[in-house]
Amino acid sequence: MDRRDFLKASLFYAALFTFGRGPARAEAVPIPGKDPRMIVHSPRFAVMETPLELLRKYEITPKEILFTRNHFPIVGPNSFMATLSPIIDDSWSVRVTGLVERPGKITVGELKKMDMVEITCVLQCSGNGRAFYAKKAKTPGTQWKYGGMGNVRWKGVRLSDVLDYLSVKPSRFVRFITADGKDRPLIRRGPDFVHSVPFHDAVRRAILAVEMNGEPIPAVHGGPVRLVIPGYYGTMNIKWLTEICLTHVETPSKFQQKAYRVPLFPVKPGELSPRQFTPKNSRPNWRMRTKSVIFFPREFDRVKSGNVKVRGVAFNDGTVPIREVYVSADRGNSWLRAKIVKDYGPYGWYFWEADLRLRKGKVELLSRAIDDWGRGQPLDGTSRWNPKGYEWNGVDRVELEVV
Amino acid sequence: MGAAVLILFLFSAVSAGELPQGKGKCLVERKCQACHGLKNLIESKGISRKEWEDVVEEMKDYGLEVTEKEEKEIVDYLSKYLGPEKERAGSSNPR
Repeated sequence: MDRRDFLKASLFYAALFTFGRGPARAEAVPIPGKDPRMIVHSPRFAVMETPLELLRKYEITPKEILFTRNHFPIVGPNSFMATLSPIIDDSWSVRVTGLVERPGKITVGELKKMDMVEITCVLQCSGNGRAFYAKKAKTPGTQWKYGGMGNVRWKGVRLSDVLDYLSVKPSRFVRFITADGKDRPLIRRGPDFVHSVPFHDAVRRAILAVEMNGEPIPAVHGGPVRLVIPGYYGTMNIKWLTEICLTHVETPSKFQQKAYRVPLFPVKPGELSPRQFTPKNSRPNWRMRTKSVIFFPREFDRVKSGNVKVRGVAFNDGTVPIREVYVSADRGNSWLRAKIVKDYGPYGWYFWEADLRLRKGKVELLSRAIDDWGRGQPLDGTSRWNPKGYEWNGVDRVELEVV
Repeated sequence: MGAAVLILFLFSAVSAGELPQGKGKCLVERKCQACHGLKNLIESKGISRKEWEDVVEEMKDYGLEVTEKEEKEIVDYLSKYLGPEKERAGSSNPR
């Protein structure tokens, strides 16, 4: 590193740490072009949450406000990701390897010439809502509330079509796809960020996406090509995709084996540490739990007594549709069925509305979604407390002072 | 070179303002900042000693290299200054 590089690096780090001070201070966003109102959880990793006030303004979440979550500092070999601009590189290739007759690789240029599909899906961090577990016991990690999600339109080529195109011929022993991206750890012993998902499901759902919301995917969101598995938690949607390995077992990466997992049974705080996770006592954050969120009114809205149109969204893993959404204004004693007014297909947000008559004073609004398989939301979300605070899907609650 | 010294000074002044003063602070800053900012720690403020132990153990899986003595000092610091309210108040008797 010469003197000039040293100065540049020093300035960069000084800036990062300056931005990294306490939450009360106004912070510059670590990715230029992101909305300055984003909540910056980690400047060095560019972990940012969308404030609910912004999230609810759009049916499709624009790139400027979509949450970001990375696993390595966005410097050095990972600095390529630190921009909202796309990476234009048709020669970027994705290798398909593992238990196949014929390993192959496909370039972004080739993908662009193939038949594409468009899918709108909820992209949600599996830690979204972690902050709400603190009612029982705080869990370590980013204290996401609502804005670790967005409704995103992807365009790309089906994984099944890519496998056919390359004539890879998977072995009958293939049980998972294990995906890797270009990001890598900066320290010597750090594990790579790699995830495995069940092959049978991935081959039905997954696409190799090259566009997000009608544009080439911004670098920070995983372009030029991202593995998008509709209905799966965001972590499984590998960004900057470089390899899909067809495997018989899940990757040994700590990101699969120790993080991004929940126990298979209820645990009390302190009972099971993430280091004790095994395939027998826990499972990865794969398909998303059914969830609803009240968009309006929220704690920060001024609501007058009388008729109020309560609005929100609901979603699940897309396996079966969302069937019903209910709202309550009396702490769950009685529930009113909301009307689903719009949807973006099985994997996107279902928009719902309900007309409630609210009286002056304190009121608590609740919302609860149920899908065709009867999968809903627990009244007390902390009943699903888990050591790393994943997969929050408790009934949503808003405490209001109606004037 | 003067500019570089100034930058380094600013750098250390800024990061020094992040965590509460106490035994182990420098070690925590040095070891944890090899990968991530201190904000990651501050966001987890309030978790128990057992959980901080788990977090440090977990970080070893992600490449953290510490001696046994350093590990204890880091856990002592985190549970004393970023632990639950009662542990922070009663810090004279760490578990």
